[in-house]
Amino acid sequence: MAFPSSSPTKTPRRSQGNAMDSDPLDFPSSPAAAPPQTPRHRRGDIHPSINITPSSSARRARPTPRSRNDNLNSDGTHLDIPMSSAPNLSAAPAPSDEPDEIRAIWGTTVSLSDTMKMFRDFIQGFKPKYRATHDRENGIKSKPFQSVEEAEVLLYEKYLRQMRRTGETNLNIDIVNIMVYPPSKKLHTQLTKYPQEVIPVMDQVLKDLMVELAEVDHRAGEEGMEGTDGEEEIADIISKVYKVRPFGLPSVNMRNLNPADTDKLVCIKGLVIRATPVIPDMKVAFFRCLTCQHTVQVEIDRGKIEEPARCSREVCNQLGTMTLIHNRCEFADRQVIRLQETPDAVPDGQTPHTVSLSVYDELVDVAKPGDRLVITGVFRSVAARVNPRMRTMKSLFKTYIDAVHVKLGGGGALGFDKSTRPAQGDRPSGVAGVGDGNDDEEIDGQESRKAEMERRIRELSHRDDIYEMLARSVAPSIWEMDDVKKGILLQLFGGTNKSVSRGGGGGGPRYRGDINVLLVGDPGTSKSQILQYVHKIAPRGVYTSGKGSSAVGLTAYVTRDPDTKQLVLESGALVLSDGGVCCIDEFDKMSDATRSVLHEVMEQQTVSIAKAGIITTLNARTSILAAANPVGSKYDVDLPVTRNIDLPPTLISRFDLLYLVLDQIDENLDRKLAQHLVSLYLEDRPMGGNQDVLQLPELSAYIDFARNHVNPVITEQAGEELVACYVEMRKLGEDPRGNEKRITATTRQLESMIRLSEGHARMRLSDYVELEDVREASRLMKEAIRTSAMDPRTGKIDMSLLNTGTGSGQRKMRDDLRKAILDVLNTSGNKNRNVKWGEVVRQLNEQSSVKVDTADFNEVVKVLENEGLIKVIGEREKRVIRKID
Amino acid sequence: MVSSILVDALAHPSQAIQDLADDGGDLNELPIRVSKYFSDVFASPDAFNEITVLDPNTPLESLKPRTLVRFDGMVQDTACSPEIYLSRRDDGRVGGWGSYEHDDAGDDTKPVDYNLLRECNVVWAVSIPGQSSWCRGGSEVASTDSKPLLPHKYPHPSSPHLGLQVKVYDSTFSESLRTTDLHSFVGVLTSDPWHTASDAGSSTLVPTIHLLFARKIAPTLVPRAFPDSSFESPVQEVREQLVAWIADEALAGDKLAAEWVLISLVSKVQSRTPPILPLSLTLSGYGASKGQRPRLIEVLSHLVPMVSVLPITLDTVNTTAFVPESKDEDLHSGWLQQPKGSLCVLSEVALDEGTVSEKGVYNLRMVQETMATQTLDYVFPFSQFSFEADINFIVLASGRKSAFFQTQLQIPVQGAAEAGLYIADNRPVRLPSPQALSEYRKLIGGAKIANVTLDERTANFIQDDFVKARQAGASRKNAGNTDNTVTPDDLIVRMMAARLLAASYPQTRSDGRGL
Repeated sequence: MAFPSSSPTKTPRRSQGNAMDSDPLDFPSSPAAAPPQTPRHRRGDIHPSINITPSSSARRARPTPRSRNDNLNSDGTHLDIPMSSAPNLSAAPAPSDEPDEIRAIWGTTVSLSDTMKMFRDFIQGFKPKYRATHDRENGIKSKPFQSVEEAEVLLYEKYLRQMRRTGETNLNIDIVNIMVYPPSKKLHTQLTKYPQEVIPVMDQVLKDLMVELAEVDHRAGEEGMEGTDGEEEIADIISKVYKVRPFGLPSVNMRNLNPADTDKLVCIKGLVIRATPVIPDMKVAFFRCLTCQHTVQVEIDRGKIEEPARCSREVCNQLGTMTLIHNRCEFADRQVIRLQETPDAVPDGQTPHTVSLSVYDELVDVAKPGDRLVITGVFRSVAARVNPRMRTMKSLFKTYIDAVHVKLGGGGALGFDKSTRPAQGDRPSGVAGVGDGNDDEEIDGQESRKAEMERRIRELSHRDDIYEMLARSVAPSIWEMDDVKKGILLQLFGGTNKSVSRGGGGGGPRYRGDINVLLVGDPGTSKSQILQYVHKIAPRGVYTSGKGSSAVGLTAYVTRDPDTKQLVLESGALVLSDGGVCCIDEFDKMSDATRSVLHEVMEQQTVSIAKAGIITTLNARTSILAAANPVGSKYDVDLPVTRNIDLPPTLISRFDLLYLVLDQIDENLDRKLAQHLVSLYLEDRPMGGNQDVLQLPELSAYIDFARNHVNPVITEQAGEELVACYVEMRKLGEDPRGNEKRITATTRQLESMIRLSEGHARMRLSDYVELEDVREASRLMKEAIRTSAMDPRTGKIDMSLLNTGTGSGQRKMRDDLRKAILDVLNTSGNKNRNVKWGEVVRQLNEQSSVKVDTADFNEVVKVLENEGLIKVIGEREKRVIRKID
Repeated sequence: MVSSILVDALAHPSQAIQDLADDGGDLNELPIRVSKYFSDVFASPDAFNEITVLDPNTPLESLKPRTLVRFDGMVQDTACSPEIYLSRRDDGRVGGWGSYEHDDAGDDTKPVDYNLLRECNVVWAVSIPGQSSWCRGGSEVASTDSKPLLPHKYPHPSSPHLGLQVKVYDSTFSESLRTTDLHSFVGVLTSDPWHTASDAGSSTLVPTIHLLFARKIAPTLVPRAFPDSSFESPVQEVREQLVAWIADEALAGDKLAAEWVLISLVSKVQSRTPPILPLSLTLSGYGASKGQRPRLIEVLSHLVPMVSVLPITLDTVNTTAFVPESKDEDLHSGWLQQPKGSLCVLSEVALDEGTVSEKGVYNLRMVQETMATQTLDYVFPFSQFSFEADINFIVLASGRKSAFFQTQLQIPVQGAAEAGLYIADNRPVRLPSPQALSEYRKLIGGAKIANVTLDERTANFIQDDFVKARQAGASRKNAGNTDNTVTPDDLIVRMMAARLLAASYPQTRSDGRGL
């Protein structure tokens, strides 16, 4: 080891740890008796690759002080600086017998002790004001400090104390902070260029500082650090492995990674397409001699563990007696992830690239397939073996990335809805650890840009016409259809998810905040285009077409994992869009079985699976945007909605908004449209259209921001208005002339209205739902109700059209028809009271001014037959109706 | 002098690369210099034709390794992971271009200078799908016994073809490569392992071209001009003869249908915003096929450079892949992965009763979508990527209308009954004289690349016609007839048809005639 053990040790424990660390071969034959040892500093992301990359072999080939170590087995850990090394770092001429300059990263002039000093300086000296200065210089607006003290606080010392209190061992460090702190400026370059050497050094310094800080606090007698508690705390700290996880590099496109980046710190974004199960990576193998019980530990070296051929004890020295004791070996978690370029990062017309990613220890299982990640890691090139069993290597190389920091949810489009992920269960974005932007916003690497974005968004939200502008920005290529766009916009913002657990339900049901929208209309009215557009901006958006999706495609299916050959549950569109928007095209052409799944999803927001022995309930808290064609592909305005759409009314009623997109014939409109189209096709370039729209990324950022930061609460005034609107809507059904009562609105509509109001308030970035929000929500609802629930026979709004499929007008008509049928049977019946089916219809038609609907007639006859009033005899044309007395 | 360079380049391409590398100069620039050097050497058509051509007929075994070859192919997959190679060896030999083959770079303890590592991109190229024999230089593909490697990477997996790996050392060129692009790849032929993520251990050896330079192939395969002045007889006459030939030989004498076939042959993607896309055409009334081949397919294969026949039978629809899909990070091809400018005949004549599976429904939907938007969605895990396509679709329906597809044009074939639409033994397709045939091809090829604008008069004519038709439709609708409403889509079809008609005449401006 580079650092002489002659250095003074501070505590006996540390020297103990040092001894443990020195040489595994010298382990007592029964290590169990040994005092609790300090874990060897072993980082998956930094170490094993050193062992297997040629780079390390390159370095190893040169006699560096680090590899000069006689201990062959600790070769892989040659960067592990013993605990006791810290004190001599501050003293420049360390009591060392080696020239100082050799203690540098090979091939460079970077001195490790300088690096350590710089990092120590950084941790002890960085204050938020440096960052603020940097942001100002670069024109990035950041949050102003509340007070002078806030700018002067020693940020990372604060974090270290926080780590001690929480028992956290990972420190996330924003690389930008290292860069902007003048004394550590060089460290930034070193870290990005030589992460393999610098990160372990930083880990070491971190641990030393933790111990030092603990001791200082112990001496000062801070809370929780007095007396024996403090001693124990310090002992605890010493036994832990601390890791520095740098992040905040500007991300590069993965296809720009080239050999020049090998062994450097890089940052890429991508979509997880596959993740292997956790692979236990053997770090230290434990061998025991069968004859003399002598035990030997062998460390991993270049990805391989050398099995000792003979017992190392000279007395014994027998051949082939060493056996592996499995449960005494040390393992670390490892996982290989395939990361694919996100669709927005792929150059136009190119296929997406993928890279392999190795994640270790705490980072394992942080990401699941489908997640978007921002990865900071070390880019590796490994020579590919021609044959795994051969030692010869080709001069071809494979590349992968060893992740040192993982952040969830990067990418241009919206992240998932955070409220749908449990606060503790899933680790929040970024991996466990402090210092990440998430627990302390103002130091996040992205924060300054975020602040800039936030300022812009806030500015935008103050515009008077923000609502109109955002609505215009939704699918700007589609003309007109303003109300549809507005409805979809509010769907994107969504209502707030509520849970009644606070109200005493004890984890009671969760009220959905997702708004579901159904578009029904004639073919060629750009429904699909709207869907495609929403799919592009929506968080975790999934686009599926009714024809092309089966029930499993929508929910989940059980499949065999190609890697492990085990049955795994793969989630379909609905589960994948958990916390997002699921766009379903050709909704009407979907099979009934598939659609029935949606019943559960749209109200309970879960998907239950019972397949191949896997029984589970998956969350599918998704908004649904569906498009359907009317029956017979053209909308018949004379028929009610339910007759036009071949969907069960129970499903229709679950949509908050139902829009009819109809193709109307009107000379003026047609001429305008024709002119517009012709001019489009005459010119080479299309007309500019309205320029005052938000671009897709901006709109996406706006919605994302609103969804994550704004949770509006209904004010009293708005509440009253909601009640008033609801009552008014219900009143719409009252007909002053008749005593029949139509149901115009149900509580479902009230809930929808609440969600829409919340969505509207969110859109304004307002923390309160106010009067105007409710009014707009009510207007949208009325618009949607007017088009969808209008009874074509009476022109009145009737919600029961949607809820039961028959409107009250129709019910009344059927009553009349029933009477008429009975009359016909009474009057025209011969002595058998048998009347021909066709005859009844003919007579009815003669009596009535409108043609009798066959479907209605059949329905009424069936009802009468069920009631036992009539009997139908015969088949088809020969049917006769007999009245029963 | 020139010829000796040419001979050297042909015989010892690796030596030429080595010489270029030894010249000194920046190692980073080497791929560019190599590609420039070789494309200069083979600039003339004569020199270019000297290079051994690889096609499905070429027995790969007969070629010496490291021969200089040419391969006209379609880029099938650009998602293969790039390779990193050592650009210069210890002994000063240049790495890359296959020079490291079967040659172990010493043991792994040797230091590797990371500054010498370079990246090369790997793409998978296949022979041009549906290439007609007349533009392949006449040679008919003999069904050889040798099975092509990785048949799942060819759009028509069962037909003979050649697929190979192309290693591109020039990064600027590789960035410009897109799937379904057509290129003449010239390079050094070797056999290299094919890497996929799924089989990390075992890898198969596939033919590999280490690219020296590549030439783009025009979508008409044979270069065409518009307007073309090289016609021997007046263009109008050529056109008339062509229409007559198509009508007589393929469509039982129906000239109107033949006109529409011609229009749909010459249509192409003219712009995407606003969408001016190829017109899709259904020829209906084919009747049951009884296992015979429609004459039209035979006729078309003599006229257009690339025609693929997609038999819409339950078997194909349910079991074969229509769209490319990435499975285990290997992009499998599908029927619809066709180069731009190709013609796809969807032949429904052999369709039977039966169930369409879920996959089948998806496949049919993808065809319909490609027809409507001229983009093809490649399926990748968790995402779909849309790629631009430019495929003309002609649907041959046995009944009154196509069973699955909605096309912009539906033309019932109304011809003399006895002529027949299928190839019968007693009535083979009669070919016109080779000169006439080449004139026909020239006309179609030229019209395909034409750019025609509509004049004001035509536009107004179409506009008025549209409004009138809408009114008429509305009144018809009031009378209880809801079928014949004119939609804006009809308007667009008319405008496009006017353009294409002008192109086929050939004129650069369309006037009001013909509508």
